[in-house]
Amino acid sequence: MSLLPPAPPLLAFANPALFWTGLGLVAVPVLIHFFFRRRHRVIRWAAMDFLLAALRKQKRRMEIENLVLLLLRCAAILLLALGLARPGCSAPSIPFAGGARAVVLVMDTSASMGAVHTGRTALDRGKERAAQFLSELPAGSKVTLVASRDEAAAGGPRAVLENAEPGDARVVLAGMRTGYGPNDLRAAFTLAAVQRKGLRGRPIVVFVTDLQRRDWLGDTDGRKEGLFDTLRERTEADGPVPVVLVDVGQDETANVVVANLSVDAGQQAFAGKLLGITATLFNYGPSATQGTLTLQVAQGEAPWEKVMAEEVVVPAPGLGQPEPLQRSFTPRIPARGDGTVRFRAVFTARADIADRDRLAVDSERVLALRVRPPVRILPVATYSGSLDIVRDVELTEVIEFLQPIFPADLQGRDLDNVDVILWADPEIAALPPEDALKLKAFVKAGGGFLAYLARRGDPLRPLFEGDDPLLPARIGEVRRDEEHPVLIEREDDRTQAHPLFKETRQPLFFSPEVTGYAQVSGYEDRAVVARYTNGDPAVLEKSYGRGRVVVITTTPAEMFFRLNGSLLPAILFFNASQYLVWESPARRNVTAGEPADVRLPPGTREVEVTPPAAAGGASREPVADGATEFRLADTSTPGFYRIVARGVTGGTTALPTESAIDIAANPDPAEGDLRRVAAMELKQAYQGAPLHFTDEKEPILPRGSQGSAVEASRAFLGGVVAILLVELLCAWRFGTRRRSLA
Amino acid sequence: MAGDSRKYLDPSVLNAIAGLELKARLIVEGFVSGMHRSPFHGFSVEFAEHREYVPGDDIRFVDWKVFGKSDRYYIKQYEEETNLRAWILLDCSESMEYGAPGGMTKIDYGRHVAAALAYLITQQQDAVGLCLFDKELRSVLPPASSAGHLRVLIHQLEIARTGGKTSLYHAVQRAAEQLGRRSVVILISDLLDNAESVLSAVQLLRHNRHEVIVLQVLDHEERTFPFERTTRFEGLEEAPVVMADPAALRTQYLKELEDFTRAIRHGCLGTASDFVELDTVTPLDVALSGYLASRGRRR
Repeated sequence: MSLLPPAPPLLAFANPALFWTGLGLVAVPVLIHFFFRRRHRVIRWAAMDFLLAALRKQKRRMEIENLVLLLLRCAAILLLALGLARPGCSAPSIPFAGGARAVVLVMDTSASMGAVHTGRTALDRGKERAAQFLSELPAGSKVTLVASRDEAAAGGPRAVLENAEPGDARVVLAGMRTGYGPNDLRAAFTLAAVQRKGLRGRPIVVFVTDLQRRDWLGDTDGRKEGLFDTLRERTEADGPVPVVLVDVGQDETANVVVANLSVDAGQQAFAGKLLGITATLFNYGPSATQGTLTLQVAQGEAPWEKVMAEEVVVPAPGLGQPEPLQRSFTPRIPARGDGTVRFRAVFTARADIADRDRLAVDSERVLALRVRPPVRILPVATYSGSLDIVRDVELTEVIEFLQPIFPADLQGRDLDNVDVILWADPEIAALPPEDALKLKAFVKAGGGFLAYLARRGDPLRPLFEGDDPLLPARIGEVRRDEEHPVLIEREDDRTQAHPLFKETRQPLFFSPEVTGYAQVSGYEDRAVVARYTNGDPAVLEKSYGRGRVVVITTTPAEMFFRLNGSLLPAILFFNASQYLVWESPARRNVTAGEPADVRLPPGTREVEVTPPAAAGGASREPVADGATEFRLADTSTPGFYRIVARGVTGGTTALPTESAIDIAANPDPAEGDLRRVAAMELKQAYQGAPLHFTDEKEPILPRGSQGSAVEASRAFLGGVVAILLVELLCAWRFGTRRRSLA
Repeated sequence: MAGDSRKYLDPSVLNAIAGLELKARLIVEGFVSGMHRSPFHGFSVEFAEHREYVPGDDIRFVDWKVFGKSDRYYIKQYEEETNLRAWILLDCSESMEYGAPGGMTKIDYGRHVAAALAYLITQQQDAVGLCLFDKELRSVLPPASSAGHLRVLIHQLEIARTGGKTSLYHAVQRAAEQLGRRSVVILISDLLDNAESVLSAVQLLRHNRHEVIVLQVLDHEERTFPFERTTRFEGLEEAPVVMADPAALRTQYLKELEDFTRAIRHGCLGTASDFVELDTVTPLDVALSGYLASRGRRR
């Protein structure tokens, strides 16, 4: 007897018996038809002439209507039978048709599967269900076993057994344990899809889980697809795959989750500098939970190191949605490394809390960050007093002055290693034309230019006036009035919201009295970031090429215009130095699953993308000539994506070039919501999809041709509704529900 | 016996009608105008007296002989003999036997109508006669106006039995031979015959200068055909048996009935005859007083 599965029929029924029964039931309308002909009342009637005349004229139509009605009724019953029998054109669309199977069994091994109910963990129950399923597989079936979280794979998914006999799979299954944190389910699905490709035979994916993820459901506005959509998308690349979701969770399970770990708004990670990071915790359980929140850091493949820890009490949700508990940390970014860093927040429940076994702690959250080096500033100044303020407020946190003695011009300066040019000199008489061209080229290529105009802004005129200005403006006379100083406005919304002024939202904002500034005109209104109280522009900014220009119409020098005396000049300088090198967060740190756009160096011919280890190997893609952008479409696996751009330099001698860009993909904060999804909610969301649900009471693989009771009842209801519709249609169209041939 | 006779003269019927003044159209001027002047003056035989002419008198009645003798104008006045002769022709064919369960049959309804009208006419001191017929004349009671005659007439109604097929023209043809001089002929029938036969009968009566009033009595079920379940219709008057779904046939049936009724109505209109549809569920007083009132207004 062959162990090979039989060839699937062209049309198969999951429940052929129901089909044949339904076929037999088609006779019922015919019998009803004759029954009603036999069952009649008798009337002795006088007005027979009219009746006979009516009958003569209606007989043909009545016969046709009777026939149509009979056929409709038969068709409705036939459809009902078909619905119950669940036909399919090919075997993969029928989860439980017979024959050998290629099974991908994914076990949810997140921490929440460790929750105890009636003395056993959810994983224990899941293993029992899975073992039973494996023992009932048809002969010849092969099994690949995937743990959705495996500490040996840095918390990612891992195929612990590939293409094995069901018996072997049961042995390995028995030894599986829960991890210490949440799942990366999308990575697990990707792995399941890869494993499914390697299997021969009719595939089926079985997922044993506690459903403790809100993102099983997509966004209500459709922006983000649900997990099952992801699963289907990845596993169905080579044809439809039936998916069985085995729910072993408990509705009343308590849970504490580190839902999010994020960089504070407006901050960037600079190597060696402090960074504000906030962890957000939720408690989905019935009572407040006390424990320790630990922040850890790691670079590259190095092990996690504890940075700081804090005792926290995560409050209970009460009646409504759980309130987030937020804890801020200010760790220092390691000074050395490959330009990347990872932080991890771990919550550990106190060992002595009551009912600890019931507490399923999805306790960790990882934040991957690209770290940029300090901003390298080249000041152009003949008078260093202009920069004293910078030193006074210790802004060197993110700033590195390139040389202790500042040059008076750009002659002979190599700007390749400069991030920002600071024009801080009130005395330079004129900007040489070649310096003006060099400076424009520098900004166009992505550099930053910060200029103080007063007391002599004239030398910069070539930059702001004429063709292709850095920032269109005409620099006029200096307004100087010791008697009537002006203040920098803080009321304007644009000022308040602008990154240059972000610190001024604090109560510490004090504008100094400005007694002199360069009057400018001909600027674009939108270029003005802040004005003086008399309406004249105080700060302007504009993008130019890839870079930015910030112009402050006065100087920080006490001796000139009394701008000193408050924190504002320092804040402006500090913020401007970061703002001028700012890249939008989307270019550095993206949410996993969203595409990332990367700027390519000129002359790039090819990019090589190395995704995180869990997402597979590196891939290479050619780049069209002249392309300046590359879109990294698949960032679904959290972690670092290294993009190496290879090309050749321009000019007469073409030399190979290579530059690396890192993109950090972090999980969507919504994925941190580990409230359990109600199975009913999930079923409704994926109604009609080839997704089969079972709970602890139903077998994963029903014996014989037994179908899902839920689907059968749904098909039955559908059939009944169809019959009722037919009857209603007939009642409406023919004026009655019964017809007898006269 | 008298008490039995009164059962057809339901007070609610007769009270409603007694207050009305029934006036015949054309030749016969009215049921209730027995005391009024009749248009048949010139045909009456008993001379009463002479009266001096006054302007406005019809000069046809001037006695020219007296004028020749006395050179003065006198009008001849006659004694009125009777001003109305009415015949009630009641259809007693088998089809009149039909009635909805719990309701009145058509023949019963016809009896009530006939008795009420006979009583009314007699009260006006006019003469009323009765013919019962199916395809043949079954009995004939000549007109008279006495109270005793009314009792006989009502007795005739009581003992009338249904049976036989309808042949309206044939029956009316036989009756016409008995009707004598011009009269008001009240035909009470379900008219379940072919339309030509019905209209021929009416035309025949009109030809003989009778005023014709056709009262068509149909059962409410015959007018609405309200049946739903599959039904076996066994025809009266030897009609065939039909198994049918009434709901499917209702629209067409009602259309056939309407066509037939319209043809009769138009035919009656063409011969200046009255045509009244009576439904066995319509109260008798309502049906008769409505008709008589509208007839009065036409005058």
